[in-house]
Amino acid sequence: MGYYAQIAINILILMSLAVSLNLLLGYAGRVSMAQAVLFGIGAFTAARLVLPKADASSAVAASGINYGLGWHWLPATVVAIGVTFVAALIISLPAIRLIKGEYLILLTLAFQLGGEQILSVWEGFTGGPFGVAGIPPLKIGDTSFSTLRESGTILYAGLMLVITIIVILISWGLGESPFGRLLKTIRGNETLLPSLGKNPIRPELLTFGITAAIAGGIGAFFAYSQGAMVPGNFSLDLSILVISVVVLGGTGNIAGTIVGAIILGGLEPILRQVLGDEGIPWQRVIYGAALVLMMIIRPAGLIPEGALTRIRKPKVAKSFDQNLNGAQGIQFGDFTNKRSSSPEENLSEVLVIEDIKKSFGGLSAVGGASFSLRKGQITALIGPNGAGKTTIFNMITGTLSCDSGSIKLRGRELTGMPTYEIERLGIARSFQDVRLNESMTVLDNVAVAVPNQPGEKIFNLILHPLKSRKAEKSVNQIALDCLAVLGVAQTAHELVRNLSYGDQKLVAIARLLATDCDVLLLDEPTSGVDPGSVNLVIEGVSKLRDLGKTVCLVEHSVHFVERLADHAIFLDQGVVIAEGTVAELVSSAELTELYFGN
Amino acid sequence: MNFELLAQLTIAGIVLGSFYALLGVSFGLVYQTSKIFHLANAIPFAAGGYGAVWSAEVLHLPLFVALAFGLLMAVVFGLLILFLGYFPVMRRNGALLSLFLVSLGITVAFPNLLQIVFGTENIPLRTYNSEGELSSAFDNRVFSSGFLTITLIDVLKIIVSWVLIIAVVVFVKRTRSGRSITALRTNPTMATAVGIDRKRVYILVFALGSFLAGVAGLFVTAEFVASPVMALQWTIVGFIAVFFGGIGSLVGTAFGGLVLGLLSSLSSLYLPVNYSPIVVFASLFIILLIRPQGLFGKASV
Amino acid sequence: MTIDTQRNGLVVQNLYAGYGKRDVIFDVNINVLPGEIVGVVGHNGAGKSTLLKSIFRSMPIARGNINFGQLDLTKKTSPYVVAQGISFTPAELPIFRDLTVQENLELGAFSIKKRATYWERLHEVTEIFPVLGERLKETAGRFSGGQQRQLSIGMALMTNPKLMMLDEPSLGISPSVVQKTFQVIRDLAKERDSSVLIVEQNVKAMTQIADRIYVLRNGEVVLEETREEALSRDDWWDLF
Repeated sequence: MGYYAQIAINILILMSLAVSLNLLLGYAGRVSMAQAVLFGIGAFTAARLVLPKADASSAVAASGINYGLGWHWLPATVVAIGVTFVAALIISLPAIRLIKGEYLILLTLAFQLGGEQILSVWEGFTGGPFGVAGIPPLKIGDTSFSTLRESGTILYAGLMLVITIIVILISWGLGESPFGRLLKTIRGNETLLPSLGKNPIRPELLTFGITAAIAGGIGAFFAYSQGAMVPGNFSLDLSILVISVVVLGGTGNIAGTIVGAIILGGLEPILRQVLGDEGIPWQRVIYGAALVLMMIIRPAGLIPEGALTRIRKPKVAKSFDQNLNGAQGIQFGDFTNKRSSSPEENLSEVLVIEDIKKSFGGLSAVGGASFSLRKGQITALIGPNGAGKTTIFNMITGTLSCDSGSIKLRGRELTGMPTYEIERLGIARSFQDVRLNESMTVLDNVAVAVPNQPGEKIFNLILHPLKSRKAEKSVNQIALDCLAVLGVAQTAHELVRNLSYGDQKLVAIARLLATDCDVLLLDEPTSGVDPGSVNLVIEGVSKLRDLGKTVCLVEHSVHFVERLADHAIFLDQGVVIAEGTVAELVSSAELTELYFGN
Repeated sequence: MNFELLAQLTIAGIVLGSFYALLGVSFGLVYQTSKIFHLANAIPFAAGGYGAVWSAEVLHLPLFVALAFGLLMAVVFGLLILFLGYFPVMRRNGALLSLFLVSLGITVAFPNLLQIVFGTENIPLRTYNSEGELSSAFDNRVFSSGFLTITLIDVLKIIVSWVLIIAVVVFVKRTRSGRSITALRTNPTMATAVGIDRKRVYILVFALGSFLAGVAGLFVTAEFVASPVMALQWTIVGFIAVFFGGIGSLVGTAFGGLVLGLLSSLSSLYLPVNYSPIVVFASLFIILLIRPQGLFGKASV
Repeated sequence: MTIDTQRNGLVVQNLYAGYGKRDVIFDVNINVLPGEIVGVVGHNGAGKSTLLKSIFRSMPIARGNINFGQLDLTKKTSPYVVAQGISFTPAELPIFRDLTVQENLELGAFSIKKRATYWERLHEVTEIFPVLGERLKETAGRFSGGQQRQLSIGMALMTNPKLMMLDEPSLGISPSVVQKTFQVIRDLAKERDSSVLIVEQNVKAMTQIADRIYVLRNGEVVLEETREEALSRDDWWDLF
């Protein structure tokens, strides 16, 4: 029994490490190579804290190394968790600026190897190569979990099962919450989140911190259950094993990770039975090979993300489908952080751009453009290639800084603000490509844009779980309403990857609507849409106007602009050449010459 | 300050730094072109060492032939990784993360395969002498001048590393094939337009990178032993040299490696010797904080 | 090379291509006869570049056929296409900015194995564009837009192509330079009896040199007409 209980402990430890790493690797798409050493830091920190004081027991003092502070296990565990959390935040410090994924790989890899080295040379902390021993067993009430008896090991296995379930619940709770939705949105799409008014860095760092903290906490229980350990227990191989479990099972999917942990964790005892000690290298060969084969044959893992997503029939707000009266719009209720009611609220010119300039390496891209967007109208930017249209979008939303000039939203200066703050003031944009997460449902892709969601803050998820759940219902309803406006509510519970590109464009516009911004910038809404669906997209854009939104679009097909725009601005080399209705502009010989050459 | 110690440590730092530079250029060639976080560069490293040891003992090859055989194995294994691991994933349009995970799988499987085939023990490089006995292949002589000492292998490390680094840099800059590497790296669209085959360039950089990793593996084997776990730590130092020196240029990487080696060696003036790996990792951390483009890198726009 | 194998020139049939599962061009049929200059015009994002890249086989195609003379290019890759005498000049960054003019031209001749041929062509190209010859050792990135454009065409000429494909050669250069460049292209094509396929937004410059024009709108060919017809057209807006 004791033997099997120990195997169970090992598998459960692996499972909880992998489930927590899945938050980072599966949801946010970031790799940490340092899980083993973080696990080790937690283990040695807890061990040092619970080991008896040197003078309290002469027998321990005689052994020289195995003494500590004599703490109770509970505060020791809390400290272990805290230490690893802080360590993770420090490691990721340079990665904040270098947001690309490979830097987190590099830094965690360096931390893993540097950490291993520190663990093996810092004798005062880890006992050096010989490690520590004599870690006192856990005591809960009167029950001592001493591993000297078989029953102790079984008790530990039971305790580990409880802990693993807690870790699964935490990871599942975070992963399937609005917070997890944020993480999935970041994956492979770093630039999107700021344009939805949300800061991508905080959730990412927090996730790495949480993943590390869980590893640290598990480390503490590892220390208590083993009684003795050496720094060699926390090598890079373990980090890689944990990653393999996540990848084998299927990233972004906790059920997959559980299966993966049982398979790879169960492999070792089986191989050991069959091959004896020679089984260990075989185990590593097998999980290494499994990783390679998985990436080649089935990159999504045994249980792919979204495979277990239930397809439910959506409840669509009928009123939106039938009659859409522009005055009413979508009810955001509390879910808005748009600061409104400024004194200049009723200006007809919502956004005023004056003489903005931008040059790249001496080449002028925007050479002093001035224009304004009128409330409730669709304004189109047209002009030949290289006219600076998309550059102007980037300048309005703060993705590019202006060299000079001013951009005012209802009298408020925007230049110099970060993208997500500009969005919060009420300007959102779409991109030429749709930038949807293909493995998420349509509804989730839209819901992520709803502002001010309490469930996006971990603090609220923990302290106000009911409030967060209730809010989530309203958020989903808002998202559904937005989809209904664009006429794609029936796809709400499908995965985006199953939609046609035309529908995906409509979903992206619905997401724009879900930001509750009143100024919407659309970058080539019809580009790449098959000829059969173009009309749907054009209708969708005009519905934004019906809802009272101020819309500005860059669209190259004059054919479509003509059908959509109330007002058009002709740009050439970053300068406004003319303004007027599309019909007026295209009848000008001068503009025709600029557009088609002479 | 102890001048003799300083001088001796500087020499040790140059030896170490030259070796780091070699490892950095090995990984840098692959990374610059393919952007693959090629952790499995450890495999050609180990294949080089084991190839030499095995061919000398089992095939009775003389020293230099055995070394050449080791290098051949390094290149063969480097290309096997490319063909069996990376190309299939690229054909599926796998993301860089997928390629890295492949690399990770290979990195963990291969040393254990070595252990299964060759056992866990460390194997020194031995060749058959004229009497038909296995003996140490290499007399690692020590040269002394005054208070300074340096071993033959250390001298070779400096010379061979820099000769190879210069050869690679000149090759990339001056030859037709070499320029196809730069072309693909700086402007992939144009590279395709002039008829450069991306696959061929990958094969070229993996062959070159693996060759250099194999040379590094030979050095470690000749100086110490071949062992299943000989490669990973060194390989990662190569990674660090690349990011420390600056991603864009091989020359920057080489000097980055040299600086790292000197820092690591000179740190023992103040720190215990077993802290020097930690110095390397800490240097990376600090440089990424204060100069993200690397020591010699150009700031990107 | 005989006239016979080239008789059909480039023939593209029922072509669908795009990114991933999503098509950008739909059922496109075009052809370019030997010695003919053909223009493809259309609004930005209409799929013009996608068309060129799929012909060049540097991007996957979903359906359709591409033939060049008697060669079927449908299942080939771009190095093969280059070797068959088709050149492609992208719209943006059509040169290697960090390299010298001579290094650029050498890379232009990448598919030419013979050194002697390379020198011969280098001589020809510097005769056509004297400014390149004068500044062989200078870094190309420091050149003006017009000179970079000339260099990019020079690079294409290094292979003496039977079909030159140019993506927006007027991009980033002044109208007078556009006119000169286009004249050079036309003279070369007629002199060497080689074909040219140009993608442009600058319709007027295009009609000056093209024998025939296709209009692409949102991925579909909406019009094909001869130069004479195109020259007499006064409203282009409804085609864009």
